[in-house]
Amino acid sequence: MTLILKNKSDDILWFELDNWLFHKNGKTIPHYKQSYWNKQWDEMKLKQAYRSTFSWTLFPETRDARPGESVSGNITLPMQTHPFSLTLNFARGENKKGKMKTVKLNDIYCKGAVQK
Amino acid sequence: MKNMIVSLLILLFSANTFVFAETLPNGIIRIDAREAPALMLNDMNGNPFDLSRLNGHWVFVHFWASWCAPCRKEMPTIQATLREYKDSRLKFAIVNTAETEDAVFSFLGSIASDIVPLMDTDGLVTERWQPRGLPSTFFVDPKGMLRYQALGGRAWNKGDYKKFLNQFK
Repeated sequence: MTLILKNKSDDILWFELDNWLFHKNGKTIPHYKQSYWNKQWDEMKLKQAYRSTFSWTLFPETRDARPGESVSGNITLPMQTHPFSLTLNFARGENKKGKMKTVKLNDIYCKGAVQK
Repeated sequence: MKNMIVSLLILLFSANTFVFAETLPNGIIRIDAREAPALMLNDMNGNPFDLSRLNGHWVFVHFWASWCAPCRKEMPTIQATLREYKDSRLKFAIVNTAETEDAVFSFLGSIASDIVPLMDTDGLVTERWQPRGLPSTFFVDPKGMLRYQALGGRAWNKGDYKKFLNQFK
């Protein structure tokens, strides 16, 4: 899935994929991390230039977002045939010491893959 | 009197070397000064470039790729800026990240034909600079220290961004 997030708050928000949860019916859906791709690329002996470009298209695994800043990229997870949810937890402040902000997105589905 | 002149020279030098603007345009952030990573690449014509040879100048260091939509939008403003500052003390390093000459040539030919980018063919120089994403722009001071970073693409030839750049020329 492609995410474009804009920090509209007045504080620094931390985007850390390990603090985000993809889930369906109480079960976690694991997402593929950079390490998964690195392993694939090693096996394929993929050229460094292609690795680099693909990496830039991924949503960063950990990043701060300044007020007004947009962060975008792809998060890869197995194709889902049923709607699922995403719970995003954001640490706040320069040193992540602010109150955690949580946002939950429901009824996310993979276009063309959902079984009614 | 001699001390006064020395003090004045130090003041002038400091003003020219370090931070100018207290109020920064939207999306420009200060960086805790640290040495800029090495930047030695060939441009698309095969000419070598070494950032360290630009000591004494502010340098606009920009990373981009043609597949990145904000980069495509921003590039014409960079071309306009390059033209305007061609003979100024502000220098430019426009770095393409991990694309082929064919891809870069066909993109710039239609959008910003004046630009002869530096070719980071494997993307490793870009990674060393740790941009927050693409596009990304850094400002390196005359001592080779990172001073500012732009968050995402900016309209460099307009308004507050133009005023910001004017301080470096």
